[in-house]
This record gives sequence, structure tokens and C-alpha cells, in this order.
Amino acid sequence: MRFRRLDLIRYGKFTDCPIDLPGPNETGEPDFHLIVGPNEAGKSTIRHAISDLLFGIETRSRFDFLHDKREMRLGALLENGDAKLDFHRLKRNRQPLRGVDDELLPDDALAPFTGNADRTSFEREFCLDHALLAAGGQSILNSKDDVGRMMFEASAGVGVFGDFLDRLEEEAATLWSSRRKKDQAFYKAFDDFNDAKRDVKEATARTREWKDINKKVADASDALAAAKRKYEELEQIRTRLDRVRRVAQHFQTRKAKIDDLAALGDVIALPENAADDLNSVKKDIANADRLLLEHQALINKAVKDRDDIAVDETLLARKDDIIDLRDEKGHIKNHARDLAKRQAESLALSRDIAALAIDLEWEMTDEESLDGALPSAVLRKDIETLATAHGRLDQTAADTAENVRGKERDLADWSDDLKTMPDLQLPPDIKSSLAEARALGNTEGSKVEIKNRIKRASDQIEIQFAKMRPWTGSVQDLRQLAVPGDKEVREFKDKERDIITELNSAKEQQEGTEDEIKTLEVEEISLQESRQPITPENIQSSRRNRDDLWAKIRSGTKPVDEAGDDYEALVFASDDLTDRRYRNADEAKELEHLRGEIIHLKQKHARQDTKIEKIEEQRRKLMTDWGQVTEKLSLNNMGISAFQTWLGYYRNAFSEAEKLTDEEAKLRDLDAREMAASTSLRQILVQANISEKAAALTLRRLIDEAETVVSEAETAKTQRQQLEEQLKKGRKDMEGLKDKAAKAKQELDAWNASWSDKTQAAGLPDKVTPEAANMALALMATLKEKLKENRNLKQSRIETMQMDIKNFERSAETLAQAIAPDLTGRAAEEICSVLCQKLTEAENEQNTFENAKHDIEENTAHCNKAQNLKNEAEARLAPHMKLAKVDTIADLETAIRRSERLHIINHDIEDAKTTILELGDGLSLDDLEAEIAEEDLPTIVARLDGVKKQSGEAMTSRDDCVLQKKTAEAERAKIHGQADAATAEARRQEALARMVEVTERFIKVHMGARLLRWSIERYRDEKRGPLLDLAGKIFSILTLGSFQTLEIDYDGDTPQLMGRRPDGKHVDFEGLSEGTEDQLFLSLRLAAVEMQLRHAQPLPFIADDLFIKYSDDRAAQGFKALGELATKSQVIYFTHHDHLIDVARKAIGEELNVTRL
Amino acid sequence: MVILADFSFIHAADIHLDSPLTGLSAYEGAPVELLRSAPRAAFRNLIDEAIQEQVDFMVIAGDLYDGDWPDFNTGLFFTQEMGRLKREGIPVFIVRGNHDAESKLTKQLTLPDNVTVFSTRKAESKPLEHLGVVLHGWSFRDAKTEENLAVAYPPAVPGNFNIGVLHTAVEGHAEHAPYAPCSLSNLTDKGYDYWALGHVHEYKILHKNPLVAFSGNIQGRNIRETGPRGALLVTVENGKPSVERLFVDTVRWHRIEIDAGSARSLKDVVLLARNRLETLLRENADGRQLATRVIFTGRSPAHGELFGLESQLRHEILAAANAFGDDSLWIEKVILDTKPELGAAAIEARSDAIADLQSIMAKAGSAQEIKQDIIDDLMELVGKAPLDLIDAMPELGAIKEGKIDDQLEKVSQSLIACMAGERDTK
Repeated sequence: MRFRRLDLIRYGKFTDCPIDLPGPNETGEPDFHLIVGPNEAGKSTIRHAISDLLFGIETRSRFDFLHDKREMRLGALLENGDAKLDFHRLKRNRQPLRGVDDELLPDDALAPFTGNADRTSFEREFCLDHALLAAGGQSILNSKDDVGRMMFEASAGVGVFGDFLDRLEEEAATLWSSRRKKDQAFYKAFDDFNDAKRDVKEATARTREWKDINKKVADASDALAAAKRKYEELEQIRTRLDRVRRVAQHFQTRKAKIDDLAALGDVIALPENAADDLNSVKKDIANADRLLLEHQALINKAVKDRDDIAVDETLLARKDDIIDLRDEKGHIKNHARDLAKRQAESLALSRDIAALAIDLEWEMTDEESLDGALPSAVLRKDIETLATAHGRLDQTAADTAENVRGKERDLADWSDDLKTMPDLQLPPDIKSSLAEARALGNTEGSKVEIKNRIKRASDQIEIQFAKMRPWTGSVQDLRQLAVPGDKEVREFKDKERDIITELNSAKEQQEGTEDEIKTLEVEEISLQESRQPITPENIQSSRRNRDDLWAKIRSGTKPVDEAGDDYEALVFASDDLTDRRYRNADEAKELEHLRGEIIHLKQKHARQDTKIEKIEEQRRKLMTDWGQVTEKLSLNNMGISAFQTWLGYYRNAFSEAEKLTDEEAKLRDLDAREMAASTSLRQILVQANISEKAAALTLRRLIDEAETVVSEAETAKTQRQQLEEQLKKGRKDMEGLKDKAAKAKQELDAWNASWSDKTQAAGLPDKVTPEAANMALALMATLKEKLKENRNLKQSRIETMQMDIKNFERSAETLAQAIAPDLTGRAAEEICSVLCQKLTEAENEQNTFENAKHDIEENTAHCNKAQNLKNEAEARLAPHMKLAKVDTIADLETAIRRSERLHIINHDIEDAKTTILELGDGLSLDDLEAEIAEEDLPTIVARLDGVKKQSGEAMTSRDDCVLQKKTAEAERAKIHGQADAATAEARRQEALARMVEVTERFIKVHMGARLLRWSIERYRDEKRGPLLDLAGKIFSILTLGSFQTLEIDYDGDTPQLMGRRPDGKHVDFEGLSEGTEDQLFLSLRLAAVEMQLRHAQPLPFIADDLFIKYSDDRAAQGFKALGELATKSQVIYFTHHDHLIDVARKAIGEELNVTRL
Repeated sequence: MVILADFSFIHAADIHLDSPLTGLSAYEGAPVELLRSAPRAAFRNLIDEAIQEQVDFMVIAGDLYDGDWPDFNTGLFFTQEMGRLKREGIPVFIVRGNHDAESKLTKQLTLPDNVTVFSTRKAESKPLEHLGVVLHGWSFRDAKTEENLAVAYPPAVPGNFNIGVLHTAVEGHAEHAPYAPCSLSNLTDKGYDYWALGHVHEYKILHKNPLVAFSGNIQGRNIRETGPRGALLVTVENGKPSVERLFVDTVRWHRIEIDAGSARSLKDVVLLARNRLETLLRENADGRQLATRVIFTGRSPAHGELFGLESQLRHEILAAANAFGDDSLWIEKVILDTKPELGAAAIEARSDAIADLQSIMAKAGSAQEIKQDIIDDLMELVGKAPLDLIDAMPELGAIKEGKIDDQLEKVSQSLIACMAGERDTK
């Protein structure tokens, strides 16, 4: 559809103003119309008029300032292929369309021309000024409209696999990377592998080692054997000399003693103990003589003592009877005193018994009659039991009767109370209303708390806002902030860190390279100066000089005479150089190598420069990108770390703002609920006339009032119920009490009957009280005890003692008559004392007689024994006297002295021999004598010292050999078949297996990640929407090729549109200038329109000064793009810039239609 | 034949002393010390058995040591164990095989006089006159002894029980290196009563009369050597030999294949594995250490999830093994050999982004740029890998040669399955 003509009949400032819009002459020519007019000429009015014309004049149109709404009218001639429609539109709701002759047209008369378009879509897509274009472009970028969704989602089908890809890449990074990272599984296993490998090597004992160590042990054993031999030889010499030194003097001693023996002559050799025997015998004889004298004197004295003594045998014969009498006297010693005491006690008891009989009002006869008159124990116990029971039975009967009377009084009182108690009734809804009101709790307190929280949140927001500076704004602004996500910031941070790390590493490497270059240059100079190596260039140069001169000589330029010496010198120099180069070939080669190395390093240095510059460029790019992020938030130049802190403040502020909103909502809700509860309670209280003042009370007071009402009614009800229950229970209790009273009375009656019977039987007075009966029973018990005690005293004590005294007196008299008639008739105690004394005297005499007899026998035996000893001693000397051929002890003494001298000399000779043999190391006497004879005794000590010293040295040498042998053996013992190497090898295999596992997984995961990333990128390339392609082409045209195309970055949280420069770099939307931003919006819009034209009714594209931010050359490109659109659909462009007419003509062609307002 | 007495002997081979168990990676809670000492423990067990059974002699048919293993301690350990047999009066007869022909250990090692090593120059016969037994043997001179030694063995000594001791790849064992090859008839025609063979690590009776037997090795060393291992106790009564296996291994290798077809998630898969491990432990009545490889196979709905969570799967299975509470179970490896439940055609039929990605990934093999990028990345790893790792992983060799198509194909399938699972749960 296109406008052939537009009629502004009565609209805005226009009155009967037609605008002619002729169509192109030929198909393919642009249908482009430029409407030019100064500001206020009515360009915007026309744009609105076009919308109103097609879709109806707006109800509240602002274009009625000249023509009244009822008068407003627009018209147009529309063309759509061959179809035409010339019509007018009025401002009215019904039948607004008219023909040019004012005939009515159907309401849908325009449908064939406008298709499915409505006002909103037309104004959004086809009828734009700069602001609408920008807003629409932003909607596309934010995917808020269909065009945006179409563009971004076309290739977003694989977006969900981003996480999976991330996981694969993350897992791969934990397994292996070319740059070792901490905790990577591969390198951990690799370290273990290398450790185990090292351990295998260390623990392995190779055959060569075993062989070597065995040889070492064998060598040490040989050396030890040799050292031992030498030491033993020296020791033999030392032993011989030492032996000679030791035994020589003892040989001399032996010889002297042999000479003494010869001088002694013939001697009878008596036993060596002969002198000892003689001395012993002489001593024994003297001792025996002394004993004989002593014992004979003792015998004489004992005989005399025995003969002087006479013993009283008669008395001794009755010894036992006398002792018995003495014991009997001891037994009755205290009887007289005790007898008096016991008799007094018996008398006192008799008096007590008489008194008790009087208390019992009994007549006193004798004690035995009294005992018989006492009542039996059974009867006394019965009376005691009855007396005890009386009090309880009597009390029970009285209590139960009183209980019955008390209960009767209570029942009467409760009946009276019930009759006087009021009956209160509650209003029906009061409880539910009260519960609802209570549920609100302490509303005042809650409100204070909420308000406090609101204040705190507000304060916090203020604090966070202060921290968020330089950003400033309101809470509303805060909510609308488009803040980058953590991931994005982290990525920036990570990239920055990676770049800095990479940069530092690159610089370090470059510094390393510089150091190497310097080192090598110093080496080069040093080599050059010290060795002066000859390079091929030196030789070539020298030869060149030589050959040049030779050529000159040959050509005759230089005469031989003149140049001969020089030539020879040059030949010599050249040959010398060659020789020197040959000699110093190694140095030359080294120099050459050094130089090559330096060149190589310098190239490396240059490459490192490039690399550093590249990293710096990345860093600058990153900082630029980051700057754009902060710029959007008015946080210019804020660093990434500072921004992370800022982000924390932002989130705090956002969180506090959310809290603030919540708390404010809570406060409003609480107010509303409080109001509802108050109203409800107030109505109930007023309607029920319960509280007259309810209308003026607060909710708290209303609750109190209502609670009081409810509480009083419920209390009254409860009390009434309790009283009724009490009455009912009291009546029931009354019956039980009456039963108990009757039972108690019966028991008391039975007791009275039994009491009378028992007391009578016990001889107690009639009608005796239980208390009196108890007292009488106690007196009877005491009487019984006293009677028993007195009886026992008399029988077991008094009568027994009297019997003992009589028996003693009889025994004394009888014994006196038998052995001491002179004592007959005396007191028994006296008889006993005299007889005991006599007995003692007789026993003493008998002992003295026996002792004398014993002494005589004993001393006689001692005399006999001494005589025997003397005889035995004299007999022991007999063999010696016979051997010595003498008869007297004096001669025997002389013979013994000579014999002893002989023994001493023989002993000395034997001792010398023994010593010699002991010191002679087992050699015989003859061998030793021969050995001594061979040696020069005066020099022997000196020679011995020399040999000892040599032997000591040999011993040290031997000990060294022992140590060496032990060391070697210990070293060999370290190889003893242990499994250390095998175990380390097992560990190596384990680490290898782990590396295999990790590597297998890495290959899978890495391959998977790479493959997936590649596939997704391919997928996106393939699926990139035609819309994006078209927009990209238009964008390229509009930006004069500054951008090549448009692409979408899917790496972030949401896909982002990015322009791609010809060099492949990407610029996101935030990085575009304002003009380029406008060009992007126009590109997107034109692409969208073109896409729509492919399948929908074409509509005119109305553009109101869209190029206000364009430079002229880009405006020209804009016209080109619109001109391209104009070949498919009508384009009407309004502008107030006259100079754009030329720009447009140059871009589109002279045939465009220009209309001036 | 005049056999002087009934007797018994042990036939062992391929001991590879101190050769470690391979392919086992240590992890938290694993009984490492038991496993590291397993090779020696097995050999000690063998000697214990000989002493306990009071055998008359022992035969070791080659590969006592492991090739280039240089630690002399291994030799000393062997002599110590031989010393135990000497104290019991048990002689030992050894031939060298391809693995210990050139062992440096043997040259300096002084063996106890109860040990006889057969000559490398020619076949020898060693009589045990008190038993009426003659042993014939010939040690390898070189590792690569490729001539038929059996044919040159001496003829049987009449009236004796003749035993041939030989390290050989008898015909029909193509999986083993063809050292000292011979045919079965070369052996049976010799007129011997028993052939004690070594080289093949699996127990096998090749012929019954005369008895020709491989004892197998005494301890499995890797996942290829599964099942019980040990030596043979040969009892000769009235001149007739009979064999009984003696299991002396301390660690036993197992492979568990689990069809994950019924599993829908990692949790299901772990549950399946736990049940199987429990069964394995229950059946392992003698309480030996089990080194177990768990392999998941089959078309499984969980294939994709497992690809993404392979490390977690391993941890869960280790945890399940540890949870059994004793030290008898070591998980050697968890291998994912599952396939996606849905085939490429089914994915394609979805006509969604996954289908498109599948189509794109299918072209990766021919997209030189991405392929080269991946190879370049992986070559960095190969460059830093020790040679042992490269030897242990054929995949690294393939990467060096630029052959990653198969791997790409597998990873593509797993990625698609994994993403299809993720997509469906979102």
C-alpha cells in the first residue's frame, strides 16, 4: 500500500492542505519522498495525521487547537496495486469513513490496504521519529519484542548445553593442562611416579654392586689374615724373651738350696707334724692334771652336806590334803561379809511386797499365798487390750455423730447460695471477634517495631548510598540499575589477573633472555680477547688481500720488485692465519656458536617484545571494556576490585530497599487489620448495651472491655456449675456418714459388756474405769517381780554360803587329828595356817638332800674323764719316739728340730722348681734351662721393650683390618634379599596406572569439550537468523564499513548483540558511540521491516528526521538504506535540514520527490 | 619300569619373581601393602606348600626372574627360600626361560647345593637314584631361543620315571611368543612319563598319557591373568602320575561385566555394581584379595549421564567396595563400554538442536581444523608424558599418528547421549 496523495483538510494547523506523493515511474525505482520544512512547519503533525488517517483520530487528540474535534477531517488517495481508495476520515466513533463526496464508507474499507496492521504495530515499526526508533531498538536488544526474540532465540537452541560444556572444561582443567596447576590429578600421579622411580633406583642393588662389595669383603679378610700372622710372630718372640726374663732368677735360687742340703748331712726325717704333735701332747697332760684336782675337792664337800640333813616324811605324805584345805579356806574367805548383805536385801524385798499388797487392797498373809492370788497373765492381757481400745471406740462414735450434724448444716447453706446466684448470658459473636482482635497481638508494639525496622532500613540505605558514591540516585534508580553479574565481574577480574600473570611471566622470561644475552656477549668478548680465535671471515679477508695484490702483480699494475715483499708478507699472514685457525679451531667454533646463540636469543627477545605488547594490548582492551561497564553505572574509572566492593554495597542497599518495601507493606496491613477488629468489637459491645462508652475506645481498651465481659460471664457460670456439683456430692456423702455413725455405736456397746466380765474375773472393783484397771495391772506386775526376786535370793545365795563354811570347819578338824593332834580343837583357819607352814619347811629340807647327792655323782664322772685324756695324750707320742729311736720327750724334741731343717730346704728347692714351671709357659725344666743358656741375660730387658713396641703396632694394624672387614660386611648385609625395590616398583606401577586413568579421562573430557564447543559455534553460525544477517548488512552500510556485521555473544548470562569490526574484533552495544547506536537501531528496524515485507502487506515507512546524530556521509548511507527499502515500499522522510536534499539525491537519485512545507 | 618308590613333586613355572602387579592405581582405603607384597607372598606360599606336602623335589620350568629386573635382592630372596627347602632336604631343578635367560642376577648368585640349574649348552639328564627318577632339561641360552629344543632332549632312561622340564610355546599357543617351539608329538614321542612345561601362564593339561602340563604362573600380574593361579602337585604311585592344583596366589584378578541396559541413571548403575561385587565377595570363600575390573556394557539410557559423571562413578564404586568393610576387594578399574540407548537415527528423528549437533559432530572427523586443534592439544600432553605412559596407552600412540577418528566418534556419541539426557531433564 502507498499514499498517492495525503489531504490535511482540517487537522492541527493545516486547513485544506494536499500533499502529492507520486509513485515511481518504473518498477524498481525508489518510491522515496522527502518532505522538508523548518521547525514548527508541521512535520510531526503530518506523521500523527498518517496514523490517525489509517487507524482513526484519537479520542483525546491534541490536534484540535484550530479545528474543533467535530470538524477534524483528513483524506488520502491510497493505492495498492491496481486498487485505489480516495476517502476522508472524520473524528467520530461511528462511521468515520467517507468518500470524497461525503458518502458513507464501511468501517473496514481500509482493510484491503492496511492488512492486519494495527495502530500500535504501525507506529512501532513503520512510523518513527528518533525517540521511537531508539526505544524500539532497545526493545529488540532486550528481547522484549518479537523481533528481538526472533533474532536471539534463532540460535539459542543450544544455550542449555553451556553448563555441560563448562563442566567438561572444568573437569579437564582439574586433570591436566600444559601449564602445571596445583592439585591437578595428572601431575600428582606424575610426581608419585617419579618419586617411586627414584626409590626403585635407590633401593636396587645391582649385581655389580654385589660383586664389588663381595670383593671388598674378601680383600679385607685377606688383609686381616696377613696382619694377624705378623702380630702372632712378634708375640712369639716377645713371649720367649719375657719367659727367659721371668725364670732365670728362680734357677739361681734353686741351685743355692741344693747346696744347703748337702751341708746338713744325715738326718732322720720325721713327719712334718711331729713338732705340732709333741706340743699338743704336752698341753693335754697339764690340762688333765688340773681337772683331777678340782673335781676331787667338790666331791668331798657334797658328802658332808648330805650327811647333815633329816626329812619329815609323814607330813610330806599328806601334802595334797593340806593344799586342798588351803584352797577351801581361800574359797570361803568373803562368805561372812556377803551373807550379811544378802540377808538385808531379802528383808527389804519383803517390805516392798507388803506395801504392794496394801496398794491393791489385799490382805497380807505370806509371800507364797500372795503369789497364788495374782490373776493369770492371759486375763491381765485381755483387760489391758480392752482398756486400750476404749478410747478409740468412744472417740469414733462421737466423731461420726458430729460429722452427720456438720454435713446437714453445709447442705442447707449450699441450697441457699444456689438460690441467690445470678445467671449471665454473652452476646453471640463476642468470642470470635475477641479472638481475631487478640490474634493481632500488641499492635502498638508491632507498629513501633516495624517503624523501627523501616527507619533502620532507610538509614542503612543512606549509609550504603554514601558508600556507593560516586553513584548517586534514589531507591527507584537503584532498582533500575543494570548491574553486571558476579560471573561477569569475576571473568573481568580473572582475565585481568591472568593477563597480569602472563605479562609478569613474559617480562620475567624476557629479563632471563636479556641476562643470557649479556652473559653470552661477555663470553664472546672474553673469548675474542683471550683466545683470539680466527674466523673464516678473517682468513677470507686475508686471502682476499693477498689475491688482490697478486692480481695486481700479475696484471702488471704493481711491479714484482715493489710489491714482492708485501706479497710475501701477505702470503705469510694468510698462511699464518690458516695455521692459527687450524690450531684454534675449537675456539673459533665456540665463538661461532656463541654468536649464533646471541643472534638466536636476540630474535627470541624480539618475539618476547611482541608477545608483551600483545598482552599489553589485551590489558588495554580489557580496561576499555571494563570502563564501559563502569561508565554505564556512572562509576567512571572504578577498578575491578573496588567495583566488587561497590557491588557488595549495591547488594546491601538493594536488600535494604527490599526490606523497606516489605516493612512498609506490613505496616499498612497491620493498620487495616486493627481497624477491622476495632469496628467489629465496638459494634458487638454497643449493640449488646454492654459498654456504653465503646464508641470512643481504642482497640486495646475494646479488647479489655470485651475480655472483662466474657470473663465475668464465664466465672459466674463456672461458679454455679461448681455449686450444683457440690450440693449433689454433699447429699451422697451424707448417707455414708450416717452409716459410719451407726456402726461406731454398735462397737462401743459390745465393749462395755466385755469389760464388765473381765474386770470382775480379775478381782477388780465393779465399774472400774479403764485407767484404774490399768494402774492395778501395773501394781500386780511389780508384785509378781518382787516375789520372784526374793525367792531367788534366799535359795541360791544365802543358803549356799552357809553350807560352804560348815564344810571347811569339818575338813580342818579331821586333818589336825591325823597329822597334828596338838592342833585339834583350834579354829579351822589357824589349823590350816600351821599345817601349810610345816609343809613348806619339810619340802625345803628334801631339796637340799637331793642336790648334795647329785654333786657327788657328777664330779666323780669328771675325774674319770680327765684321767682318760692324760692316758690318750701320752699314747700319741709313741710312734714318733719309736721312729726317732729315743725314749724321752727331751730327746724327741732334739730329733724333731733337725728333721724340720731338712724339710725346709727340700721345700725351697721344690718351690723354685714349681715357680720356674709356672712361669715357663709349659716348657720343661731342661728346655727352660737350655733356653736361658742361649740368651744374653743382661740385654734381655732392652730387647723385650723393642719387640713389645713392634707387637703393639702390629696389633693396631690388625684391629684396623678387623674394622675394615666389619664395615665391608655391614655394607654387604644391607643387601639381604629385602623387597624395597620391588615395593617401590609396585608403587611406580600404581602411579602409572593412575596416570593412565587420568589421561584416559582427560582425553575423553578434553576432546568432548573441544568438540562440543566447536559444534555449538558451528550450530550458531548455521542458525544465525536471516534478520541478523540483514541487519548486519545494513549496519555495515550505515557505518561505512566501520563494522562488518552483527553477531551474538552467547557466553554471558544473556546473549548480547555485538558489532564485528573488519579485523574480527567485537564491540558490544555499550561500546558504541551515540551515532553508531542510532545506526544500529535503524539497521535492526529496517531489517525487521524488510523481513515483514516478505510475508505481509507492505505499508509506507514514515521517518521523522532519523539522522539527527548522523554525519553527512553516514546520513548519505542512511538514505541509501532507505532508498533500498523504497524500491519495495513507499518511504516518506521528514526533515528540517535543507542540505539533506542534496545528500538524499546523491544517495538515491535525482528522481526522488521533494515536498516543501 | 622299576620305580623304587612312590613319590611326589611340585611343578611350577613363570614365577617372575618381584615382578609387580600392573594396572592397579592406589586409592584411599585400598589395601596397598597386601598388593605390593603379593608376588613374594605367592612364592613363599609355594615353598610352604612344598614343605607341608613333604614333596621329594621341585621343578621350575623357566622364567623364574623377570627379564631385565636388576635388583640383586630378588636373587637373595630366592636363595633364602631355597635354603628353606634345603633344610627340609628338598632338591630343586630349574630351567631358564626367555625371561631369565639373560638375567644378570644369576651370574653372581650362589645358589644352595639343593638347587640344580640345567645347562644352557645342551640338554642334560639328572638322576635321582633313590627314587628311580631322571629329570631332563635344557635352559635357554638367549631370550630369543627360537629353535626346537624338545627334539634334542635325551632319550628316556629305561626303568626310571622320566621327567622333561622345558620352557616352550607348544603349537597352538599363538598368543605367546614362539620361543623354543615344538609340537605336542615332539614331546609325547619322547617316551617320558611327565613333561613339566613353562611359558604359557594358563594352567593346561595338553596330554594325559604321558602327562604334558603347563602349571600356569603362580600369581596373576594383571587383568589379563584372571582366576586362580598356582602350581601342580604331581603324585606318582606305582609309576602313574596324577596332578592336583595348588593355589598359592594371594591376589586374584576378576573381571565383572555388567549389562547396564536396565539402568536409567548413575544411581542404578552403582546399585547393579554393588550387587555384583557383593556376590563376588560372597563367592570368594577363601578370603583372598580380589583385584577387580568392573566393565559396564550394553545399550543403556544412562550412557550419556555416565559419560559426564565417569569420575563420580568410579568414586561411587570404590566407596561401595570400601563399604563392604574388609580389605579383600580392590577395584582395579571401572570401564565404561556402554552404548547410547538411542541410535543416531532416533536422535535425528527428534529434529531439534541435539539432532543438529549430532549432524555437525558427524562432520568433525573430516573437519581438519578442529581435528588438528584437538591433536595439537593432546600432543602437548603426549610430549610431557613419560615413555611408560605412552607404552601403556595405545591411544597416545594413535594421537601421535594423528589417528583420533575412532575416539572422536565414541566421544561424539557419548556427548550426544549426555546432552539428550540433560535436555530432557531441563
